[in-house]
Amino acid sequence: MRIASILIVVLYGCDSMIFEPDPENTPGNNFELFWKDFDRYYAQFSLRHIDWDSVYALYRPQVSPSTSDRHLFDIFSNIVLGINDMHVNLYTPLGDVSWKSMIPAAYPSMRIINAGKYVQSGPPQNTVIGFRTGQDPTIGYMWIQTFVGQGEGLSLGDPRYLMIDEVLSRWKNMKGIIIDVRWNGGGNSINAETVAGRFADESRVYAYHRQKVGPGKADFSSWKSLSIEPKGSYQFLKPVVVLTSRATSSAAEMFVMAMQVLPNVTIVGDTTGGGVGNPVFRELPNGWTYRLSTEMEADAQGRIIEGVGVFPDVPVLTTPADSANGIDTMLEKGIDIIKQS
Amino acid sequence: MSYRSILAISLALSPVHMSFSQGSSTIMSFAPQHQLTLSSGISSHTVRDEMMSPLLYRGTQIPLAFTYRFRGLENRHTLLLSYDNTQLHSTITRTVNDAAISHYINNLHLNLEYSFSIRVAVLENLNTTCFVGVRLSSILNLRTHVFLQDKNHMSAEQMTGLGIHVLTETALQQESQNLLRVEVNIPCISYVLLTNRYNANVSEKLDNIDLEHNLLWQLFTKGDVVTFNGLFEVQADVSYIYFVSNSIGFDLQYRLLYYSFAQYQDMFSARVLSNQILLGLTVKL
Repeated sequence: MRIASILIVVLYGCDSMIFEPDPENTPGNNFELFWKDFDRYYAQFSLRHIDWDSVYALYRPQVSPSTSDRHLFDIFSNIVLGINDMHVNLYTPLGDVSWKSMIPAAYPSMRIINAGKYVQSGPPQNTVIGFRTGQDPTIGYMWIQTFVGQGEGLSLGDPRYLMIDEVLSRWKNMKGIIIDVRWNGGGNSINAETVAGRFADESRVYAYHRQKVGPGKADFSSWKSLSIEPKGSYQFLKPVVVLTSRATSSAAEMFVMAMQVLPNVTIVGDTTGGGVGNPVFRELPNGWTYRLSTEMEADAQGRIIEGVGVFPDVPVLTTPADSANGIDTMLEKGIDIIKQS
Repeated sequence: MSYRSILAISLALSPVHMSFSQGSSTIMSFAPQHQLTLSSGISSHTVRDEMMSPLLYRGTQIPLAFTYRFRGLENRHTLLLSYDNTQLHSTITRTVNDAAISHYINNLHLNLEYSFSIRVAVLENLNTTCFVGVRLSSILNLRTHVFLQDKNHMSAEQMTGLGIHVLTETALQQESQNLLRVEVNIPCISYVLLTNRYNANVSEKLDNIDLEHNLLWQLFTKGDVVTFNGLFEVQADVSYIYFVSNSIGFDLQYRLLYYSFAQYQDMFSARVLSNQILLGLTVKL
């Protein structure tokens, strides 16, 4: 019995001997941890021309032991908005803060206009990939709303995206396929590669990335290539058009870059959103959560896409006037490209 | 591994027997024995992984462990498998109706060990026999860190280490098979996940991993080798086995596992402490 008592004391007493106490939940500590995390781990200060030390010099004097949560939230909000990276976000009980999107208020380019004019109707499908036969029955139209989703356990891809195999088996005889990712805000890049690989003829490098691996501003890994490989039992190698807009971002941009290196694919539309970053979540002693980008991404030609976006092969916009007249200019261009191929 | 290390391990394993007895031995001699033990009890895990959070995460759970021991005349073999799946909380964990909804970690812990040691010394005055050998241990901590209800991040620590294993067995009563065992193992060389990236962030993408092929096979084949400069790890076990009959006994055991490593040029450090108190039923075959 004595031995058991000693063991129980040891069980619960060991960690206090080995681990330092948690940082205290004070406004100053929360600011210091927040700033230091970005200082060590954020990968895009140079791309966004941000002098991070000056941010400390400006805001740290405003934080004292008596700083309220609301005041601290305002300070953090100013910092997050100043970085203006779609993968830098703040989540607090007082509200969430994200970047100021570059998408104008009137931007019909980010959605399908007058769908019935271009595609046939049909029953609802799964929540991530939808598909319809075009009014021209030799052209298939597919939309991918998101790439969000994870598999169970060690399977990192969401099985819902494997629906692409069913779609392509139905469309083997199509002249071409239009894939619409104009309103796809990203998600899991594994799912993006799952879909893109179904259109790949061979292994091709489609992007490069490097990650922050040390505390210094220039401590990056070497550039590593990302390749798209043929996936699935069948690959569709006939003409494909991918529609993009400024709302196409994050993992959807990885998808666009992977598709852009394929010889049978044409990217049509607007430049994409310009943010990949491989963000990670972090937390503070006051319970606030935030996200920051730890990587830089470049396309197959080595052009940095962070803050810039992926350029389409055929730039086209759907103007407000087009939209008012029920014309989806981008989709019509995509259909023309397939018909002429 | 340096030549000096190899020499040290070779000497430790060489059949050198030392005895400090004066007069005849009072430590009971056995025929070789096979023992199976099924154990459970309490596991406690404490984690500070600075790449995820500056905060300490703790939790306890009921583990399950299976041990096979072979007690030879001059050597010992031990095979152990243990499992637990623990939820870890911090000072900022939010709960609703006692269920955590944010800022918690689900930690899957698996441990597989094989030890082999040979007798190197008998301390008659202490009723203690000393063994030295090696242990091969493979540990997996697979964590899902839930920051917010819809925002989580997976990470994995997996290491397979080969280390120096020291075991002492003390008979608390003369000519008794009831034993107090103390074991210490320090892995000297370990095979760990992913070259240049110890902690694998599995939520997005893994270096050089093809995610449509067998992930488990790739995790175990695309790793790196580190010494205790890169990964410091120590395992210690204290156990007491008491036989109530010739073939049935109870095994009370305390196990400690501690490891630490730095990531990315010391940008982040991770420290993990696991304690277990196990009570097991032992059957002698």
